[in-house]
Amino acid sequence: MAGQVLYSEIVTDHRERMLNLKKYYPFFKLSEVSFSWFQEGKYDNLDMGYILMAVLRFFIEENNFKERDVTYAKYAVFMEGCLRRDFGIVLDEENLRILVDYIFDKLKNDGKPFTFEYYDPAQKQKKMSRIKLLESRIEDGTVYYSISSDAIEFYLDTKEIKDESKITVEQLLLEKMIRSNNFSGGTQVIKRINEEVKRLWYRRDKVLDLLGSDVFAGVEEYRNFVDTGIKWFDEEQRLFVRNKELIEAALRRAKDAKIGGDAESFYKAGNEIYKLDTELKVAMNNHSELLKACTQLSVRADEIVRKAKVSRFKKSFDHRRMLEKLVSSGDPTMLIYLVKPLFAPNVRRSFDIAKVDDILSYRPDEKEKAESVSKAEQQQIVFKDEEDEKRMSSNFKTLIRIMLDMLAEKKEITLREFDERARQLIGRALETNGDYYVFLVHLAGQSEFLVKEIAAMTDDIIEIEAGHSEDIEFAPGAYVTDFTMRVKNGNQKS
Amino acid sequence: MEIRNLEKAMDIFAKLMMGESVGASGANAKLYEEYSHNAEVYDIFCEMLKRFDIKLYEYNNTLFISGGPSNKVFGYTNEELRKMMGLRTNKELFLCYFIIYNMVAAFYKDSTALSADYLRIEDVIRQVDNSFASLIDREEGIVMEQAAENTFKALALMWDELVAATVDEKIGRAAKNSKFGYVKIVMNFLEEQALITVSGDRYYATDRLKAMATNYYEDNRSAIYELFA
Repeated sequence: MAGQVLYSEIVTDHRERMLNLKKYYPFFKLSEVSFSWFQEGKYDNLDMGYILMAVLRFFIEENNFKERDVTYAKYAVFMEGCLRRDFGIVLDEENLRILVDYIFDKLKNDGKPFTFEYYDPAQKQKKMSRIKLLESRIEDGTVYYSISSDAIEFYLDTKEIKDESKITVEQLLLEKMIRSNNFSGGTQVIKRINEEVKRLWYRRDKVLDLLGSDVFAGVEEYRNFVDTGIKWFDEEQRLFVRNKELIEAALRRAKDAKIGGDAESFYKAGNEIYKLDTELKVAMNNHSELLKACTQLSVRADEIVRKAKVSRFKKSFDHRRMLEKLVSSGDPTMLIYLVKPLFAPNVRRSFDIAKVDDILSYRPDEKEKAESVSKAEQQQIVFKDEEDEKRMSSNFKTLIRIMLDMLAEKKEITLREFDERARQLIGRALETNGDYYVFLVHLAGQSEFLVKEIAAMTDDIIEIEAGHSEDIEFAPGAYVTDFTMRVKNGNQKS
Repeated sequence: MEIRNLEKAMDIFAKLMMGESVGASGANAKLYEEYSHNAEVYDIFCEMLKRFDIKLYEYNNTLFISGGPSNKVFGYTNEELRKMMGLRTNKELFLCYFIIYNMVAAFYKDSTALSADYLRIEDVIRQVDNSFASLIDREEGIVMEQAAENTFKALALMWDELVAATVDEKIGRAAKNSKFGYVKIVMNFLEEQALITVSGDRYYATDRLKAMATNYYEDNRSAIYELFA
C-alpha cells in the first residue's frame, strides 16, 4: 500500500517537477558557452553565467520597475558598460559591436527557445519543454525586447533582491501572468506572495521579542526590518490594487467571449480567474493585517525605547542592562561575581581521595635563584709565543748574568768554563734547555756585542773569538767548537 | 563584653552557618530579637562575619548570609560546583551560571521590584535564547575555533547546538542533552540552595533570592560595574 502511494507520487509528480526545473536549464546551458572558439579565444575570460545574470537584472529593472521595453541599442549600451567595468574589455566600436552581438545571440539562443527534454512516466512518452529568456515584439518598425516570466522566476529563485521588495517583484510577475492569460501560473505566484507575507510576520514578531530583551539589538533589528520590509508596503498595496483590476478586466473579457459565443473558453478561463481572484483577495487581506501589525510594532518600539531611556536614570541595579554588558564584555568569568554570592556559605567540606595523587606529585614552584654577579677582573690573554719570549728573555738574562759574573772574575773565559759554571749553577736541567743552546748559537754568530744592549748594565763590549782548543762535548755525541769571551773595554757595573 | 552576648552572637552565627533560618518568626525568633535589639550582640555578630568575610543581608525580617564571590573558606570552588551539578567542564558550569543569572534577570528586571511571580522552564529558556541572540549569526556560519574558546560566543554556540527538549522531558529529567535539561539541572541546584521553590512546573523565588537580588547587587553596584571598566 505504502509502495503504491510512493510509486504513484513519483510518476504523477514527475512532470510538474520537470516543469519547475526547466527554468534553470538555460543558465546551465549558457554557462557552458566557451569563448575559446570565438575570435581565436580573445575573450576567453568572459563568463556567460555572470553575463546572463547581469542582463536579466537589467531587463527586470527596465521592464518591471521602469515599465519600458528594451531596444537592442539600450541593451548594447548596458553590455558595453558591463564588459568594460567587470572584465576590463576596451575595444573599438566595430569589435565591440561584434562581441555584444555574439553575446546577445547566445542569450536568445540564436532566436530559438531553449529546449529541455524529459520523460513523462505518466504518459510514457518523451516530452520537450521550451524556455525563452528574452521575448521580442515589433512595434512601429522597432524591435522591443522584454524578459520572460520564466526568466524572472529563475532570477528570483537564485537570490532575493534585497534592495527591492520581493512581493513587488512577484506582483510584477503576477501582472505578466494575468496579461498572458496564464491564470493558474498566477495562482502559484500569489501563493509565493502569501509565503513572503508570512515571513514578514515572523520577522515582525522576532523584532518585538528582541526589543523586549535587548533594546539596542532590538532597535537595530527594527531599523533593518523597516528598510527591508516595511518601506515598500505602499508600493505593494498599489500593485495589489492594479492586479485586482487586471483580474477583473480578464474576467470581463472572458464574459465578453461567452457573450460572443465562446462559452467553453469562458468556463475554462473563468474558473481559473475566480480561483486567482480569491487567492489575491486572501493575499491582500493578509498584507493589510501585516501592515496594521507593523504600525503597532512601530508604536511599541517607540514605547520600549522611551522606557529604556528613562530606566537608565533609575537608582537601581538593572539586571537586563547587566546582561547586555556581560554578553558584550565577552568574558564569562565575570559571572562568578554575579552568581556565586547567591549561594549560601559552603560548610560541608569534603576531601577527595583523588587529591592524594595530586599531593604526592606536587612540586612546589622552584624559586628563581638570583644569578650572582661577581666582579671578576678581566684576565689578560697571553699567547704561547709571548710566553716563550718571556721565558727566553728570563733564561737569557740568567745566562748573561753568569757570563758577566765570570768575566768580572776573569777577563777572559772560554765556552767550556762558561758551560761548566752554568751547569754547576743551574744543574742538569741545563742540558735539556733549548734556550741555552739558542743563547750559545747566538753568541757564536757574533764577533762582539755590547752588553748594554743585552743587559742594560754596563757599557762593556764583550769580544768573542773562536777558540783553538779541542771541541766541547755538550751531550753524548754532540760536539761544539769552543770559543773565548773577553771584555774589550769599560768597567763592568753592577 | 558579656559572655552571654558573645554566646548569643555565636549562636546566631552557628544557626546561619548550619543553614537554619533566623528571623522574626520561626524557631530562632528569640535570636533574631537579640540581633535586632541588643547592640553588643549585633556588633559581635557582625565582627565575626567580617572576620570570615561573610556578608549579611536582611529581607522580610529574616537574616541571610553569603560567602561572596571569592571566599576561600566558605565559598564554592568551580570543581565543587561542577560536582554538585553533575557537570564535567568549566564551560558547562559557566553556561549554568549564565542560566542562573538569566533567571535572576527574569525575576527581577531591576533590583526595585519582582517582575515575575513565578517562572517556568520555558520562560528561562526563552530568556537565555534572547540573551544569546546577538551572538549567533546563522547566516555567517560558525568558526570552529570560536566554539572552543572561553568566551560568551562559545557558550552561545554550545547553547545553540542543544535541542529545546528531548522526549524524556515529559518526566522532567535534568540532563545535558537539551536546553530543558540544562535549565532543570540549574533549577534543581537552586532548589538545594534554597533560592527557589517548586510547585508543579512553576518556580518561585524564595526570600533568600529576593534578599540577594534586592540587596547584594545594589550594595555592590560600583564594584560590579568597575569590573567591566
